[in-house]
Amino acid sequence: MTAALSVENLEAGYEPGLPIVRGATLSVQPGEIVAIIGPNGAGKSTLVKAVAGLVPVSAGRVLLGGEDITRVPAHRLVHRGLAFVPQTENVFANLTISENLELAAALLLPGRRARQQRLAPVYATFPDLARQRTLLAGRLSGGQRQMLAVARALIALPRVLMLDEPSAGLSPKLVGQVLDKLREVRDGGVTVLLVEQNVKAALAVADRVAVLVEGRERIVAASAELQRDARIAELYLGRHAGAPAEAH
Amino acid sequence: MLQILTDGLVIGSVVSLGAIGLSLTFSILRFANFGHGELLAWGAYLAFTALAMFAAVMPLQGAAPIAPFSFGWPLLAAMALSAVFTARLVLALDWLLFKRLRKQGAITLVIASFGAALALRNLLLFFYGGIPRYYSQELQIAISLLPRSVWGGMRITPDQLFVLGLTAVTVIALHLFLQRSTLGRAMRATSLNPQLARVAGIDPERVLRAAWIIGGMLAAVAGVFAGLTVQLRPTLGLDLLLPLFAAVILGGIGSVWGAVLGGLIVGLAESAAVSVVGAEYRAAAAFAVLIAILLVRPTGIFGEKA
Repeated sequence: MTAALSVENLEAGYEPGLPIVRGATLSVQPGEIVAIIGPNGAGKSTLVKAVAGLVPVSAGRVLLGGEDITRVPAHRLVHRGLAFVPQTENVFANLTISENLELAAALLLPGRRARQQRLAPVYATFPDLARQRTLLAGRLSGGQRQMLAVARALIALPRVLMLDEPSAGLSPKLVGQVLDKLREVRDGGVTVLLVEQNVKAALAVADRVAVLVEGRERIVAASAELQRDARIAELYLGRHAGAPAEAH
Repeated sequence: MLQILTDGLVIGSVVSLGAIGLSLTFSILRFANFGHGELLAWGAYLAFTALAMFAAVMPLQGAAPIAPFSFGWPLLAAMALSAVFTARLVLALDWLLFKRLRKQGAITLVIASFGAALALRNLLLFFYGGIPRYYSQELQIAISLLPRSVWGGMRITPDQLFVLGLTAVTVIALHLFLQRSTLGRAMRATSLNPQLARVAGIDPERVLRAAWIIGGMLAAVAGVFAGLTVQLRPTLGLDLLLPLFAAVILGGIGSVWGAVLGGLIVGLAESAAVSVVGAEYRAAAAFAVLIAILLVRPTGIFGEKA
Protein backbone atom coordinates (compact mmCIF):
# COMPACT_ATOMS: atom_id res chain seq x y z
CA MET A 1 0.00 0.00 0.00
CA THR A 2 1.26 3.51 -0.83
CA ALA A 3 2.06 5.44 2.32
CA ALA A 4 -0.10 8.50 3.00
CA LEU A 5 3.06 10.42 3.80
CA SER A 6 6.67 9.37 3.61
CA VAL A 7 9.90 11.14 4.37
CA GLU A 8 13.06 9.73 2.83
CA ASN A 9 16.54 10.65 4.07
CA LEU A 10 15.38 14.19 4.72
CA GLU A 11 17.89 16.88 5.58
CA ALA A 12 16.58 20.30 6.54
CA GLY A 13 17.57 23.33 8.59
CA TYR A 14 17.27 27.08 8.87
CA GLU A 15 20.86 27.89 7.85
CA PRO A 16 22.59 26.47 4.76
CA GLY A 17 25.10 23.79 5.73
CA LEU A 18 23.68 23.43 9.24
CA PRO A 19 20.99 20.75 9.00
CA ILE A 20 18.87 20.11 12.07
CA VAL A 21 17.06 17.18 10.50
CA ARG A 22 19.81 14.82 9.36
CA GLY A 23 18.59 12.05 7.14
CA ALA A 24 15.25 11.30 8.78
CA THR A 25 13.14 8.55 7.23
CA LEU A 26 9.55 7.90 8.22
CA SER A 27 6.38 6.64 6.63
CA VAL A 28 2.79 7.08 7.76
CA GLN A 29 0.17 4.66 6.48
CA PRO A 30 -3.35 5.82 5.56
CA GLY A 31 -5.67 6.05 8.57
CA GLU A 32 -2.83 5.90 11.04
CA ILE A 33 -1.85 8.25 13.87
CA VAL A 34 1.91 8.49 14.14
CA ALA A 35 3.60 10.53 16.84
CA ILE A 36 7.15 11.82 16.74
CA ILE A 37 8.78 12.09 20.14
CA GLY A 38 12.30 12.82 21.23
CA PRO A 39 14.46 15.03 23.44
CA ASN A 40 14.57 18.81 23.13
CA GLY A 41 16.55 19.88 20.07
CA ALA A 42 16.09 16.55 18.31
CA GLY A 43 14.59 18.31 15.29
CA LYS A 44 10.98 17.16 15.73
CA SER A 45 9.35 20.51 14.97
CA THR A 46 11.89 21.24 12.22
CA LEU A 47 11.00 17.92 10.59
CA VAL A 48 7.27 18.68 10.35
CA LYS A 49 7.97 22.27 9.33
CA ALA A 50 10.22 21.00 6.54
CA VAL A 51 7.46 18.64 5.40
CA ALA A 52 5.04 21.59 5.52
CA GLY A 53 7.36 23.65 3.32
CA LEU A 54 8.31 26.16 6.01
CA VAL A 55 11.95 25.09 6.45
CA PRO A 56 14.30 24.65 3.47
CA VAL A 57 15.08 21.05 2.56
CA SER A 58 18.68 20.42 1.50
CA ALA A 59 18.43 16.69 0.72
CA GLY A 60 15.96 13.83 0.63
CA ARG A 61 12.32 13.63 -0.41
CA VAL A 62 8.82 14.07 0.96
CA LEU A 63 6.07 12.04 -0.71
CA LEU A 64 2.36 12.66 -0.20
CA GLY A 65 0.43 9.62 -1.37
CA GLY A 66 3.42 8.72 -3.54
CA GLU A 67 3.63 12.19 -5.12
CA ASP A 68 6.85 14.15 -4.58
CA ILE A 69 6.04 17.39 -2.72
CA THR A 70 9.54 18.16 -1.47
CA ARG A 71 9.81 21.66 -2.86
CA VAL A 72 6.16 22.54 -3.34
CA PRO A 73 5.56 26.00 -1.76
CA ALA A 74 3.88 25.87 1.64
CA HIS A 75 0.72 27.66 0.48
CA ARG A 76 0.08 25.04 -2.23
CA LEU A 77 0.37 22.01 0.04
CA VAL A 78 -3.04 22.52 1.57
CA HIS A 79 -4.52 22.19 -1.93
CA ARG A 80 -2.63 18.90 -2.36
CA GLY A 81 -4.17 17.49 0.83
CA LEU A 82 -1.56 18.22 3.50
CA ALA A 83 -2.66 20.43 6.39
CA PHE A 84 -0.40 21.66 9.17
CA VAL A 85 -1.21 23.05 12.61
CA PRO A 86 1.79 24.89 14.09
CA GLN A 87 2.58 24.69 17.79
CA THR A 88 2.04 28.32 18.77
CA GLU A 89 0.17 31.18 17.14
CA ASN A 90 -1.82 28.66 15.15
CA VAL A 91 -4.93 30.81 14.67
CA PHE A 92 -5.33 34.32 13.27
CA ALA A 93 -5.90 36.17 16.52
CA ASN A 94 -7.11 39.34 14.76
CA LEU A 95 -9.94 37.47 13.02
CA THR A 96 -13.07 36.02 14.60
CA ILE A 97 -13.68 32.28 14.77
CA SER A 98 -15.97 32.41 11.75
CA GLU A 99 -13.52 34.63 9.82
CA ASN A 100 -10.73 32.13 10.50
CA LEU A 101 -12.83 29.27 9.17
CA GLU A 102 -14.46 31.20 6.32
CA LEU A 103 -11.05 32.37 5.13
CA ALA A 104 -9.80 28.78 5.05
CA ALA A 105 -12.89 27.78 3.05
CA ALA A 106 -12.74 30.78 0.73
CA LEU A 107 -9.14 30.00 -0.22
CA LEU A 108 -10.24 26.60 -1.46
CA LEU A 109 -13.77 27.00 -2.77
CA PRO A 110 -15.11 29.75 -5.04
CA GLY A 111 -18.87 29.61 -4.33
CA ARG A 112 -20.60 30.87 -1.20
CA ARG A 113 -22.89 27.83 -1.04
CA ALA A 114 -19.97 25.42 -1.42
CA ARG A 115 -18.18 27.18 1.42
CA GLN A 116 -21.20 26.95 3.69
CA GLN A 117 -21.51 23.25 2.89
CA ARG A 118 -17.86 22.78 3.78
CA LEU A 119 -18.20 24.74 7.03
CA ALA A 120 -21.33 23.00 8.29
CA PRO A 121 -19.75 19.63 9.22
CA VAL A 122 -16.77 21.39 10.81
CA TYR A 123 -19.08 23.43 13.04
CA ALA A 124 -20.94 20.20 13.82
CA THR A 125 -17.68 18.55 14.89
CA PHE A 126 -16.70 21.57 16.99
CA PRO A 127 -19.97 22.81 18.54
CA ASP A 128 -18.13 25.11 20.98
CA LEU A 129 -16.71 27.03 18.05
CA ALA A 130 -20.12 27.23 16.38
CA ARG A 131 -21.59 28.78 19.53
CA GLN A 132 -18.89 31.48 19.74
CA ARG A 133 -18.29 32.14 16.08
CA THR A 134 -18.28 35.94 16.39
CA LEU A 135 -15.59 35.87 19.10
CA LEU A 136 -12.08 37.06 18.20
CA ALA A 137 -9.72 34.09 18.04
CA GLY A 138 -7.25 36.05 20.16
CA ARG A 139 -9.69 35.87 23.07
CA LEU A 140 -9.94 32.07 23.07
CA SER A 141 -8.37 29.85 25.72
CA GLY A 142 -5.47 27.57 24.79
CA GLY A 143 -7.72 24.54 24.32
CA GLN A 144 -10.26 26.45 22.24
CA ARG A 145 -7.47 27.85 20.08
CA GLN A 146 -6.15 24.36 19.49
CA MET A 147 -9.64 23.20 18.49
CA LEU A 148 -10.00 26.17 16.13
CA ALA A 149 -6.58 25.45 14.62
CA VAL A 150 -7.57 21.82 13.99
CA ALA A 151 -10.95 22.91 12.63
CA ARG A 152 -9.25 25.39 10.28
CA ALA A 153 -6.95 22.67 9.01
CA LEU A 154 -9.85 20.25 8.48
CA ILE A 155 -11.72 22.71 6.24
CA ALA A 156 -9.34 21.66 3.47
CA LEU A 157 -10.43 18.00 3.82
CA PRO A 158 -6.78 16.98 4.09
CA ARG A 159 -5.51 13.49 3.46
CA VAL A 160 -2.83 14.08 6.06
CA LEU A 161 -3.04 16.36 9.10
CA MET A 162 0.22 17.33 10.81
CA LEU A 163 0.29 18.92 14.24
CA ASP A 164 3.22 20.37 16.14
CA GLU A 165 2.76 19.69 19.85
CA PRO A 166 -1.03 19.95 20.07
CA SER A 167 -0.93 19.40 23.85
CA ALA A 168 1.57 22.22 24.56
CA GLY A 169 0.39 24.51 27.33
CA LEU A 170 -2.90 22.66 27.89
CA SER A 171 -4.25 21.24 31.13
CA PRO A 172 -4.45 17.40 31.35
CA LYS A 173 -8.24 17.59 30.85
CA LEU A 174 -7.86 19.68 27.69
CA VAL A 175 -5.09 17.41 26.42
CA GLY A 176 -7.56 14.55 26.72
CA GLN A 177 -10.17 16.50 24.74
CA VAL A 178 -7.70 17.37 22.00
CA LEU A 179 -6.55 13.75 21.75
CA ASP A 180 -10.14 12.54 21.57
CA LYS A 181 -10.71 14.99 18.73
CA LEU A 182 -7.66 13.65 16.91
CA ARG A 183 -8.99 10.11 17.21
CA GLU A 184 -12.29 11.38 15.78
CA VAL A 185 -10.40 12.98 12.91
CA ARG A 186 -8.51 9.75 12.25
CA ASP A 187 -11.77 7.77 12.37
CA GLY A 188 -13.06 10.19 9.73
CA GLY A 189 -10.36 8.92 7.37
CA VAL A 190 -7.62 11.51 7.91
CA THR A 191 -4.07 10.33 8.51
CA VAL A 192 -2.45 12.12 11.44
CA LEU A 193 1.21 12.87 12.10
CA LEU A 194 1.98 14.75 15.28
CA VAL A 195 5.01 15.93 17.14
CA GLU A 196 4.68 15.56 20.89
CA GLN A 197 6.84 16.55 23.82
CA ASN A 198 4.24 14.99 26.11
CA VAL A 199 5.24 11.36 25.66
CA LYS A 200 2.32 9.98 27.65
CA ALA A 201 -0.11 11.83 25.42
CA ALA A 202 1.74 10.65 22.33
CA LEU A 203 1.69 7.02 23.41
CA ALA A 204 -1.97 7.30 24.38
CA VAL A 205 -3.16 8.56 21.00
CA ALA A 206 -0.72 7.19 18.44
CA ASP A 207 -0.82 3.86 16.65
CA ARG A 208 2.92 4.09 16.07
CA VAL A 209 5.62 6.28 17.54
CA ALA A 210 8.92 7.44 16.06
CA VAL A 211 11.69 8.47 18.40
CA LEU A 212 13.81 11.19 16.85
CA VAL A 213 17.31 11.84 18.19
CA GLU A 214 19.79 14.31 16.65
CA GLY A 215 17.68 14.76 13.54
CA ARG A 216 17.22 11.05 12.76
CA GLU A 217 14.69 8.43 13.75
CA ARG A 218 16.18 5.97 16.23
CA ILE A 219 13.15 3.82 16.93
CA VAL A 220 9.88 3.44 15.04
CA ALA A 221 7.47 1.03 16.68
CA ALA A 222 3.88 0.48 17.76
CA SER A 223 2.86 2.56 20.78
CA ALA A 224 2.01 -0.48 22.85
CA GLU A 225 5.40 -1.95 22.13
CA LEU A 226 7.19 1.26 23.10
CA GLN A 227 5.19 1.57 26.31
CA ARG A 228 6.72 -1.71 27.35
CA ASP A 229 10.21 -0.66 26.23
CA ALA A 230 12.35 -0.05 29.28
CA ARG A 231 14.72 2.31 27.44
CA ILE A 232 11.89 4.62 26.36
CA ALA A 233 10.31 4.42 29.77
CA GLU A 234 13.55 5.54 31.36
CA LEU A 235 14.48 8.12 28.76
CA TYR A 236 11.15 9.83 28.19
CA LEU A 237 8.62 8.72 30.77
CA GLY A 238 10.86 9.06 33.80
CA ARG A 239 9.94 5.51 34.87
CA HIS A 240 12.22 2.80 36.10
CA ALA A 241 12.24 -0.28 33.97
CA GLY A 242 9.68 -2.81 35.13
CA ALA A 243 7.28 -0.29 36.67
CA PRO A 244 3.74 -0.54 35.24
CA ALA A 245 2.74 1.86 32.47
CA GLU A 246 0.35 4.59 33.62
CA ALA A 247 -3.08 4.39 32.08
CA HIS A 248 -4.18 7.56 30.27
CA MET B 1 -10.63 77.67 16.76
CA LEU B 2 -13.09 75.85 14.54
CA GLN B 3 -11.10 76.90 11.49
CA ILE B 4 -8.07 75.07 12.92
CA LEU B 5 -10.26 71.96 13.05
CA THR B 6 -11.37 72.33 9.42
CA ASP B 7 -7.87 72.97 8.11
CA GLY B 8 -6.51 70.18 10.28
CA LEU B 9 -9.03 67.69 8.91
CA VAL B 10 -8.08 68.60 5.33
CA ILE B 11 -4.34 68.21 5.99
CA GLY B 12 -5.15 65.09 8.01
CA SER B 13 -7.07 63.56 5.08
CA VAL B 14 -3.98 63.71 2.87
CA VAL B 15 -1.74 62.36 5.63
CA SER B 16 -4.26 59.63 6.55
CA LEU B 17 -4.55 58.23 3.03
CA GLY B 18 -0.78 58.20 2.64
CA ALA B 19 -0.32 56.70 6.09
CA ILE B 20 -2.78 53.86 5.44
CA GLY B 21 -0.72 52.74 2.45
CA LEU B 22 2.50 53.04 4.41
CA SER B 23 1.05 51.11 7.35
CA LEU B 24 -0.35 48.41 5.07
CA THR B 25 2.92 47.85 3.23
CA PHE B 26 4.82 47.95 6.52
CA SER B 27 2.64 45.30 8.13
CA ILE B 28 2.83 42.93 5.17
CA LEU B 29 6.31 43.58 3.77
CA ARG B 30 7.82 44.13 7.23
CA PHE B 31 9.92 47.15 6.40
CA ALA B 32 9.52 50.92 6.61
CA ASN B 33 9.35 52.17 3.04
CA PHE B 34 10.97 55.60 3.02
CA GLY B 35 10.08 55.86 -0.64
CA HIS B 36 6.36 55.99 0.13
CA GLY B 37 6.24 59.79 0.24
CA GLU B 38 7.54 59.91 -3.32
CA LEU B 39 4.59 57.78 -4.43
CA LEU B 40 2.32 60.62 -3.31
CA ALA B 41 4.39 63.06 -5.35
CA TRP B 42 4.40 60.77 -8.39
CA GLY B 43 0.66 60.24 -8.05
CA ALA B 44 0.13 64.00 -8.02
CA TYR B 45 2.33 64.57 -11.08
CA LEU B 46 0.94 61.61 -13.03
CA ALA B 47 -2.53 63.11 -12.56
CA PHE B 48 -1.13 66.47 -13.70
CA THR B 49 0.24 64.81 -16.86
CA ALA B 50 -3.05 63.01 -17.54
CA LEU B 51 -4.88 66.31 -17.04
CA ALA B 52 -2.59 68.03 -19.54
CA MET B 53 -3.21 65.22 -22.04
CA PHE B 54 -6.99 65.49 -21.60
CA ALA B 55 -6.75 69.26 -22.12
CA ALA B 56 -4.81 68.68 -25.35
CA VAL B 57 -7.29 66.25 -26.87
CA MET B 58 -10.65 67.29 -25.38
CA PRO B 59 -12.85 70.22 -26.41
CA LEU B 60 -12.83 73.09 -23.91
CA GLN B 61 -16.42 72.70 -22.72
CA GLY B 62 -15.74 69.12 -21.67
CA ALA B 63 -13.00 70.30 -19.36
CA ALA B 64 -15.07 73.02 -17.68
CA PRO B 65 -15.16 72.91 -13.86
CA ILE B 66 -18.11 71.23 -12.19
CA ALA B 67 -19.54 73.99 -10.00
CA PRO B 68 -18.79 74.71 -7.19
CA PHE B 69 -15.47 72.87 -7.53
CA SER B 70 -12.32 74.22 -9.20
CA PHE B 71 -12.06 71.10 -11.37
CA GLY B 72 -14.08 69.16 -13.89
CA TRP B 73 -14.41 65.48 -14.70
CA PRO B 74 -10.92 65.41 -16.31
CA LEU B 75 -9.32 65.68 -12.87
CA LEU B 76 -11.42 62.77 -11.60
CA ALA B 77 -10.40 60.70 -14.61
CA ALA B 78 -6.79 61.84 -14.21
CA MET B 79 -6.88 60.81 -10.55
CA ALA B 80 -8.17 57.35 -11.48
CA LEU B 81 -5.50 56.97 -14.16
CA SER B 82 -2.84 58.22 -11.77
CA ALA B 83 -3.93 55.64 -9.17
CA VAL B 84 -3.55 52.86 -11.77
CA PHE B 85 -0.15 54.09 -12.97
CA THR B 86 1.18 54.73 -9.46
CA ALA B 87 0.23 51.15 -8.57
CA ARG B 88 2.10 49.97 -11.67
CA LEU B 89 5.07 52.16 -10.73
CA VAL B 90 5.29 50.65 -7.26
CA LEU B 91 4.95 47.11 -8.66
CA ALA B 92 7.78 47.89 -11.08
CA LEU B 93 9.86 49.24 -8.19
CA ASP B 94 9.20 46.05 -6.24
CA TRP B 95 10.22 43.89 -9.22
CA LEU B 96 13.30 45.97 -9.94
CA LEU B 97 14.50 46.53 -6.39
CA PHE B 98 12.69 45.21 -3.33
CA LYS B 99 11.95 41.69 -4.58
CA ARG B 100 15.64 41.09 -5.23
CA LEU B 101 16.59 42.27 -1.75
CA ARG B 102 13.76 40.68 0.24
CA LYS B 103 15.91 37.85 1.58
CA GLN B 104 18.57 40.31 2.81
CA GLY B 105 16.35 41.53 5.63
CA ALA B 106 14.50 44.68 6.66
CA ILE B 107 17.53 46.97 7.11
CA THR B 108 18.67 46.39 3.51
CA LEU B 109 15.14 47.10 2.28
CA VAL B 110 14.91 50.31 4.31
CA ILE B 111 18.24 51.57 2.91
CA ALA B 112 17.12 50.58 -0.60
CA SER B 113 13.90 52.53 -0.09
CA PHE B 114 15.97 55.64 0.75
CA GLY B 115 17.77 55.20 -2.56
CA ALA B 116 14.50 54.68 -4.40
CA ALA B 117 13.10 57.86 -2.82
CA LEU B 118 16.08 59.91 -3.98
CA ALA B 119 15.83 58.51 -7.50
CA LEU B 120 12.07 59.05 -7.73
CA ARG B 121 12.29 62.62 -6.40
CA ASN B 122 15.06 63.62 -8.77
CA LEU B 123 13.29 62.03 -11.72
CA LEU B 124 10.30 64.26 -10.94
CA LEU B 125 12.59 67.27 -10.81
CA PHE B 126 14.14 66.20 -14.12
CA PHE B 127 10.81 65.70 -15.91
CA TYR B 128 8.75 68.56 -14.44
CA GLY B 129 11.28 71.09 -13.10
CA GLY B 130 11.14 72.79 -9.73
CA ILE B 131 8.36 75.29 -10.44
CA PRO B 132 5.19 74.75 -8.39
CA ARG B 133 2.24 73.61 -10.51
CA TYR B 134 -1.54 73.71 -10.03
CA TYR B 135 -4.34 71.52 -11.34
CA SER B 136 -6.56 74.55 -11.81
CA GLN B 137 -6.22 78.32 -11.98
CA GLU B 138 -9.87 78.73 -10.93
CA LEU B 139 -10.39 80.88 -7.86
CA GLN B 140 -12.22 79.14 -5.02
CA ILE B 141 -14.57 81.03 -2.72
CA ALA B 142 -14.78 79.47 0.72
CA ILE B 143 -18.24 78.60 2.02
CA SER B 144 -19.07 79.85 5.48
CA LEU B 145 -20.30 76.91 7.59
CA LEU B 146 -20.47 78.88 10.85
CA PRO B 147 -20.38 82.66 11.46
CA ARG B 148 -17.32 84.29 13.02
CA SER B 149 -19.27 84.82 16.25
CA VAL B 150 -19.21 81.05 16.88
CA TRP B 151 -15.66 80.16 18.00
CA GLY B 152 -14.11 82.29 15.26
CA GLY B 153 -16.28 80.75 12.53
CA MET B 154 -15.71 77.94 10.08
CA ARG B 155 -15.06 78.31 6.35
CA ILE B 156 -14.25 75.64 3.84
CA THR B 157 -13.74 75.57 0.07
CA PRO B 158 -15.75 73.13 -2.07
CA ASP B 159 -12.49 71.41 -3.07
CA GLN B 160 -11.66 70.84 0.60
CA LEU B 161 -15.14 69.40 1.14
CA PHE B 162 -14.53 67.10 -1.82
CA VAL B 163 -11.23 65.97 -0.24
CA LEU B 164 -12.91 65.26 3.10
CA GLY B 165 -15.81 63.41 1.46
CA LEU B 166 -13.71 61.26 -0.85
CA THR B 167 -11.29 60.44 1.99
CA ALA B 168 -14.20 59.21 4.11
CA VAL B 169 -15.57 57.12 1.23
CA THR B 170 -12.12 55.67 0.47
CA VAL B 171 -11.43 54.75 4.08
CA ILE B 172 -14.84 53.09 4.49
CA ALA B 173 -14.40 51.19 1.20
CA LEU B 174 -10.97 49.99 2.31
CA HIS B 175 -12.35 48.96 5.69
CA LEU B 176 -15.11 46.91 4.03
CA PHE B 177 -12.57 45.36 1.66
CA LEU B 178 -10.30 44.31 4.52
CA GLN B 179 -13.19 43.03 6.64
CA ARG B 180 -15.39 41.30 4.09
CA SER B 181 -13.36 40.15 1.07
CA THR B 182 -11.24 37.01 0.99
CA LEU B 183 -8.19 38.97 -0.18
CA GLY B 184 -8.72 41.57 2.54
CA ARG B 185 -8.95 38.90 5.23
CA ALA B 186 -5.91 37.17 3.73
CA MET B 187 -4.03 40.47 4.02
CA ARG B 188 -5.03 40.87 7.66
CA ALA B 189 -4.04 37.26 8.33
CA THR B 190 -0.67 37.67 6.61
CA SER B 191 0.09 40.89 8.47
CA LEU B 192 -0.46 39.08 11.78
CA ASN B 193 1.27 35.78 11.06
CA PRO B 194 2.95 35.27 7.66
CA GLN B 195 4.01 31.69 8.41
CA LEU B 196 0.56 30.56 9.47
CA ALA B 197 -0.87 32.37 6.45
CA ARG B 198 1.31 30.25 4.17
CA VAL B 199 0.29 26.94 5.70
CA ALA B 200 -3.34 28.10 5.61
CA GLY B 201 -3.03 28.32 1.81
CA ILE B 202 -2.56 32.07 1.36
CA ASP B 203 -0.25 32.92 -1.54
CA PRO B 204 2.23 35.41 0.00
CA GLU B 205 3.12 36.96 -3.37
CA ARG B 206 -0.53 37.71 -4.14
CA VAL B 207 -1.01 39.40 -0.77
CA LEU B 208 2.18 41.34 -1.22
CA ARG B 209 1.12 42.57 -4.66
CA ALA B 210 -2.26 43.60 -3.26
CA ALA B 211 -0.54 45.58 -0.48
CA TRP B 212 1.65 47.41 -3.00
CA ILE B 213 -1.29 48.12 -5.31
CA ILE B 214 -3.56 49.45 -2.54
CA GLY B 215 -0.70 51.45 -1.01
CA GLY B 216 0.21 52.91 -4.41
CA MET B 217 -3.37 53.81 -5.29
CA LEU B 218 -4.03 55.48 -1.93
CA ALA B 219 -0.74 57.37 -2.26
CA ALA B 220 -1.82 58.64 -5.69
CA VAL B 221 -5.17 59.85 -4.37
CA ALA B 222 -3.46 61.51 -1.38
CA GLY B 223 -0.96 63.15 -3.75
CA VAL B 224 -3.77 64.53 -5.93
CA PHE B 225 -5.50 65.86 -2.79
CA ALA B 226 -2.26 67.56 -1.73
CA GLY B 227 -1.93 69.09 -5.22
CA LEU B 228 -5.56 70.17 -5.21
CA THR B 229 -5.55 71.83 -1.78
CA VAL B 230 -2.00 73.22 -1.81
CA GLN B 231 0.19 72.88 -4.92
CA LEU B 232 2.38 70.42 -6.80
CA ARG B 233 6.10 70.52 -6.21
CA PRO B 234 8.77 67.82 -6.59
CA THR B 235 9.52 67.92 -2.84
CA LEU B 236 5.90 67.09 -2.00
CA GLY B 237 6.85 63.52 -1.04
CA LEU B 238 9.77 64.56 1.12
CA ASP B 239 7.66 67.19 2.89
CA LEU B 240 4.96 64.62 3.65
CA LEU B 241 7.26 61.75 4.60
CA LEU B 242 7.75 62.65 8.26
CA PRO B 243 4.05 63.41 8.90
CA LEU B 244 3.23 60.04 7.26
CA PHE B 245 5.58 58.16 9.58
CA ALA B 246 4.36 60.18 12.56
CA ALA B 247 0.76 59.20 11.71
CA VAL B 248 1.61 55.50 11.32
CA ILE B 249 3.55 55.36 14.59
CA LEU B 250 0.95 57.44 16.39
CA GLY B 251 -1.93 55.24 15.29
CA GLY B 252 -0.09 51.96 15.83
CA ILE B 253 1.90 50.25 13.11
CA GLY B 254 -0.25 47.96 10.96
CA SER B 255 -3.60 49.43 11.93
CA VAL B 256 -5.68 51.05 9.17
CA TRP B 257 -7.89 52.95 11.61
CA GLY B 258 -4.80 53.86 13.58
CA ALA B 259 -3.28 55.39 10.46
CA VAL B 260 -6.49 57.35 9.84
CA LEU B 261 -6.63 58.64 13.40
CA GLY B 262 -2.89 59.28 13.46
CA GLY B 263 -3.16 61.22 10.21
CA LEU B 264 -5.99 63.35 11.54
CA ILE B 265 -4.12 64.09 14.79
CA VAL B 266 -1.00 65.07 12.83
CA GLY B 267 -3.14 67.26 10.57
CA LEU B 268 -4.81 68.96 13.52
CA ALA B 269 -1.46 69.48 15.27
CA GLU B 270 0.03 71.04 12.14
CA SER B 271 -3.01 73.24 11.63
CA ALA B 272 -2.94 74.40 15.26
CA ALA B 273 0.78 75.11 15.04
CA VAL B 274 0.32 77.27 11.93
CA SER B 275 -2.35 79.34 13.68
CA VAL B 276 -0.76 79.55 17.10
CA VAL B 277 3.05 79.58 16.74
CA GLY B 278 3.62 79.97 12.98
CA ALA B 279 3.97 77.78 9.90
CA GLU B 280 7.66 77.06 10.49
CA TYR B 281 6.77 75.01 13.59
CA ARG B 282 4.11 72.81 11.97
CA ALA B 283 6.32 69.70 11.74
CA ALA B 284 7.60 70.26 15.29
CA ALA B 285 4.02 70.40 16.59
CA ALA B 286 3.15 67.09 14.96
CA PHE B 287 6.18 65.50 16.55
CA ALA B 288 5.42 66.99 19.96
CA VAL B 289 2.03 65.24 19.83
CA LEU B 290 3.71 62.04 18.64
CA ILE B 291 6.19 62.09 21.52
CA ALA B 292 3.45 62.86 24.04
CA ILE B 293 1.29 59.95 22.90
CA LEU B 294 4.18 57.52 22.69
CA LEU B 295 5.19 58.37 26.26
CA VAL B 296 1.71 57.36 27.40
CA ARG B 297 1.19 54.48 24.94
CA PRO B 298 4.44 53.29 23.31
CA THR B 299 2.66 50.95 20.87
CA GLY B 300 0.59 53.79 19.41
CA ILE B 301 -3.14 54.32 19.83
CA PHE B 302 -4.36 51.13 18.15
CA GLY B 303 -1.09 49.21 18.27
CA GLU B 304 -0.77 45.95 20.14
CA LYS B 305 2.13 44.78 22.24
CA ALA B 306 4.45 42.42 20.39
